[in-house]
Amino acid sequence: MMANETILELTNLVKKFGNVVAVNNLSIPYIKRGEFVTFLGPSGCGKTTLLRMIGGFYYPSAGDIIMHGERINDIPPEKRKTSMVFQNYALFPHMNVFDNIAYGLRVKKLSRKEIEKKVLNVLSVVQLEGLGDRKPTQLSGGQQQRVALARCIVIEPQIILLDEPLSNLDANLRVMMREEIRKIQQSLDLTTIFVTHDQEEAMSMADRIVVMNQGKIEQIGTPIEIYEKPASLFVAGFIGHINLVKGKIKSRQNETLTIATDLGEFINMNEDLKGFKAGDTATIVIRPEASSLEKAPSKGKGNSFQGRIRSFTYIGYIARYYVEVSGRELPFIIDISNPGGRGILKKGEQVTITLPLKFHCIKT
Amino acid sequence: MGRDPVFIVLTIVMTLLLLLFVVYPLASVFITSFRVEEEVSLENYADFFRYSYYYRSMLNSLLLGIVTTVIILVIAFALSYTISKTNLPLKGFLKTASLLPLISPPFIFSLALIIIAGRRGLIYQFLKISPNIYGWPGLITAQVLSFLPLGFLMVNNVLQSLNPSLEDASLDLGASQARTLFQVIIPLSLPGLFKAALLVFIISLADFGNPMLIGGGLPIMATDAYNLWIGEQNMEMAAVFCILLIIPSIFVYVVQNYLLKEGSYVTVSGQMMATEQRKISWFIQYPFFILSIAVVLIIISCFSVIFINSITKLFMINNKLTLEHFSSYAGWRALKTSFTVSSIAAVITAASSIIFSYILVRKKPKGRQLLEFTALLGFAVPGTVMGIGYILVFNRYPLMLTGTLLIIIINIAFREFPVGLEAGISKLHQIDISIEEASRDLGAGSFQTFIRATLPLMSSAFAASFLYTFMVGMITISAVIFLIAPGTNLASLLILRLAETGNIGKASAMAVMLTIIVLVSLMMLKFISKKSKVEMLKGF
Repeated sequence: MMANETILELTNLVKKFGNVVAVNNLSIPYIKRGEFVTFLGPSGCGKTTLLRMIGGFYYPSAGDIIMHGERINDIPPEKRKTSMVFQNYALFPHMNVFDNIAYGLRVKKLSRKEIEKKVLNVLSVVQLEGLGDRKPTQLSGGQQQRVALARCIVIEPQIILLDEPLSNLDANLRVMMREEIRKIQQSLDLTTIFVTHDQEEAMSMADRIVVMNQGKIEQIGTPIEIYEKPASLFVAGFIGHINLVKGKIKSRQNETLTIATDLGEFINMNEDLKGFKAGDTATIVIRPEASSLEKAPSKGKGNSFQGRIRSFTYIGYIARYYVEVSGRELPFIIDISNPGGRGILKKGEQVTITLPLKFHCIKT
Repeated sequence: MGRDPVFIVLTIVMTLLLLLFVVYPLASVFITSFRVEEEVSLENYADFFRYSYYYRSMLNSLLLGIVTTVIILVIAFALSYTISKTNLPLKGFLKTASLLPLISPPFIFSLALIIIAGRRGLIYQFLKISPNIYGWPGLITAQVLSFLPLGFLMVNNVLQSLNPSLEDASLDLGASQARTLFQVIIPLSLPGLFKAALLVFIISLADFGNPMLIGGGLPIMATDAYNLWIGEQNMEMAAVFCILLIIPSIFVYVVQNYLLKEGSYVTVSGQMMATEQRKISWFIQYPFFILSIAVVLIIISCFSVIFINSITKLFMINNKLTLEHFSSYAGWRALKTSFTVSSIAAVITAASSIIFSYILVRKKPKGRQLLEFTALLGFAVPGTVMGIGYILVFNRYPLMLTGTLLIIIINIAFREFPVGLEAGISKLHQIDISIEEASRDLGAGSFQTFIRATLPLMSSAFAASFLYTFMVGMITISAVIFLIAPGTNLASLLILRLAETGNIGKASAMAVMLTIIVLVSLMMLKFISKKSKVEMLKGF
């Protein structure tokens, strides 16, 4: 088995429920062994439907699910080498923790001794030693979560599927479990697909994120790519805060673009934007932390424009300024780190905003 | 909220009425069962267990209950599984047809079975053999068919409320469908199945019409109590029968309402995910499917046979179409009496259950649980027992009511009162209390608030209790058979008499008319409870 082997491939998948198209002609070229992939999107975007198709709970209306080069569209869940952690954990309430975890092993008709060894081992992996006799109702939410995970990984599936597993936990526990799942996943080298609507969860856990909207894929990429180079306005808006400025490419000179906008002309030396030529419309995408903010107008400086501070929120490690700029309805958002050290600008103050020399643009 | 004198008076009145029309009759039965020549003694009970012609009817009743319950559970599970888990055809048809018995008088299957397999029945006409349908085979079949809808509704509810991701999880972990069925679905359904079993069991125990019609003299407690009373005037022994009939019913209702409320697996938290119908292995789905189809076909043939009998002169002997069975004077008069009695009882039940549910939920009087339990008694106790209790109490001064229609109305009203109460309570739980607080805040008094703000919102609960009581009133026999005066008749009782005297055509015609009336009420009831989400028949 190669480390770089492709385990799962989805081509042109469609899923319809009656007239509703939940998944609309969607492809993921590869998911590799040991990879942690997150399906991220707002509720109703089709991410759970997609996951359930991979698990075998829904059958695709069209397209192919290919696992290890083999088409598995019509294979029922009990024959698939996937295993799922359900959003509500779906622990069998009439069985104790041990029996829940042993369920899949008993199905495989392993010997009693082997089952015991494996269950005890996985109980220690998820740090639930000694709780084998408990009924699921006697466990806390976090513990139930661990049992569900243990039950899923103990049968050594090729892919584990997690359907918003952290959404029923409170905020602190959620962050803890995030790290723990990631740790277990890495130590066992598990290929994992994780569905969530929480962008922070996706960013912090995934090797790659599949951003979905309305049954389609908006972008597939690493967290850095998704954040820094969103492929669409949807992705840009869904992940984090963003400033968007509409404009037009005025000219192109080698790697340097000149973009005309309502806020003035900007130079962009980002060499990744090869697809743009003069005359294209482009939306400038600037993260709040990417531009700089200076007190008092400084005239003649490149890539900058004037504004006035409308309001700000002090968060501690940053201060977030909402800057009013003429020719623009929405305020321009700028995060400044270490506000305590640098001093906080006051409401109403005149400021100059300077864009970086390299920034991301989306063709619109 | 302040104590409003109007509500205090109403609570007291209601309590007194419950004491008079529920507790007092039952207490009288209880006391009578210990009476031996004006002394208190256990002699009657000793006699009961001493003589086989007494205790045999108890053994028979228990056996009948157990057999009926087991068969119903199996069929109900097969039906529910087919309907909620497979993607076989005819699911809608199966569901509708298996609920058909709901709309008929409960002894209609006895009548149909007599027509089909009685001494001069269809089987005899065709094959010249005479199967002995009277006694066990007929009784079990008739009860199974009559009470199947109840079992089916409950079991289906259990299966549908099982969290589908548990099944998904089992399959996901590699378990086959058979294994999933036996290790996940069935064990998880057990508490619900147990509940259903208890209910079916006591309803079988309380059943009066079927043993009367098709029992063929088999000693059964509910009918024996009647015979002891009417035939032998042995009221002490009849009372003993009653007490022994009550015990299991009360036991079951207590278990249902107080012990089984928790302990069910169906309320697993978390979002339920609609699972796509998956392909079920043939060796699981087809046995269930075939059983369901067979039972449903029997139900439909029973209805058809009744219908055909009602419109032919003498089916199989003279097949001439006729409406003469529908034009009996006695029939129409009985129907009119039934209609009047049921409507009045329904108004009483609906009105009082709304007022009382309001008091229970919003005013939280002391002893609320006890009041609710007392009300429930009227429903939980077999009709035979209530009938005998009423005669004991209301055949002497100052409440000389037996023989009047009033006593029948009161009996029906108090027996169905708890169902109306349940409807009212469930509706009240849907009405945000802040609506009433707003009304109080705007200056309306407590009673005025009830009249102006709450009552209009409860009109659906009123309609639901009205229709339900009306429906039951039209088809009930067990209690009213004791209370009816010579010379008057109720439609349901008339069917029983006509069938007993071999007047099958007229009996069928009456049954058809009753079925139509009940069907219309039921459709209206369904419409109302769907529109207003009033919970009915929860414990039924």
